[in-house]
Amino acid sequence: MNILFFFFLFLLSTSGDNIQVKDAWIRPADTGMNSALYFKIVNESDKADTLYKVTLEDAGMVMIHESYKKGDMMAMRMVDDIVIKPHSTFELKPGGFHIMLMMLKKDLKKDDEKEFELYFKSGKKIKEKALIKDIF
Amino acid sequence: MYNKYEKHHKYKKADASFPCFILISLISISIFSLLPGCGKSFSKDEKIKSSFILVNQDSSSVTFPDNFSNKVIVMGFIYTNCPDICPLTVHHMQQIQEKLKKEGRNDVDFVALSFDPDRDKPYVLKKYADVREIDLSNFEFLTGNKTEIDSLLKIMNVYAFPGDTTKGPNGESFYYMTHTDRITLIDKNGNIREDYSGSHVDINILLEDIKSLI
Repeated sequence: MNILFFFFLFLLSTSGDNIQVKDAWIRPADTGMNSALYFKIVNESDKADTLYKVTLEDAGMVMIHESYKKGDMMAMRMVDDIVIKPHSTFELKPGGFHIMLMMLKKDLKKDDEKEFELYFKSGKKIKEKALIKDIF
Repeated sequence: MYNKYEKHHKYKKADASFPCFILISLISISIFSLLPGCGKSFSKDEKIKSSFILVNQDSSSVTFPDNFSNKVIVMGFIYTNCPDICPLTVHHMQQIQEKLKKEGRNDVDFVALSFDPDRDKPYVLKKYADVREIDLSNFEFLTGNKTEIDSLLKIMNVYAFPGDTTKGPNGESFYYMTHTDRITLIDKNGNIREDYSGSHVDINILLEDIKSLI
């Protein structure tokens, strides 16, 4: 009985581990300027989770942003968070949702890698590396 | 009355004229298609009548479009603080530049005009180009006096104005621009011929259009 109880607890504790970050990349940019970080979040769990914060050491400020069309014009706005539904993939990609990296402290040069951290409302934190590249 | 020979001769003459007609037609089509702009209908043919004094990434004075005469111009509209849309425009222009270079085509110039001249000074544009490893041999980033740029944007039917603002950690304020997403194709005579979405252009279509103007 005790074994079953601990097995159940184990399943509960691992249910939030099924979120993965894939294909992360950043656009090149120079010191003082802005760039954008893109990636896919794969949620294989049965619960939705919410990305609410991203950090990257070489950026003075990091925000979740969305590019959108306003008539024939393109505009950009800040969003508070991104909800990743159960058993779904959310893609941050050019022309849509992206992580805005502002006030860069260093040049982001092609072929370098930068580490970043994602914070989810479930309490989960994910550290990942992004390749700096122009190709998408 | 035709004799047998005449009949035969007449038949032979008619037979010979048909391939001749095909040949002449093919030659005419070939010559016609080699003429700039022929074989492709563009949505615009608007002459840029004024000249605009601007500066490039090296702080050299550039008169637009006069300094690009006898060249097809691929012109993108950007601001360097744009993290998402404008880099797509520049990247598309860079891809087209590389493809044309590989094909040995030299009579096309690339121009990225900033609609945020208050922040996009020449040295900012230079760094923007350097970090993206852009070949500046036939690619210029242009900025300049705001009044001059606004006049040029009006002619090009491009709109840009400050949109959302964000406060930095020390209270400093940053603005983003709401803007037209555009690449424009200009022919060798300074006529605007076609507009494309800068961020979503099909570069193969744009390449074909450029080649029809070379």
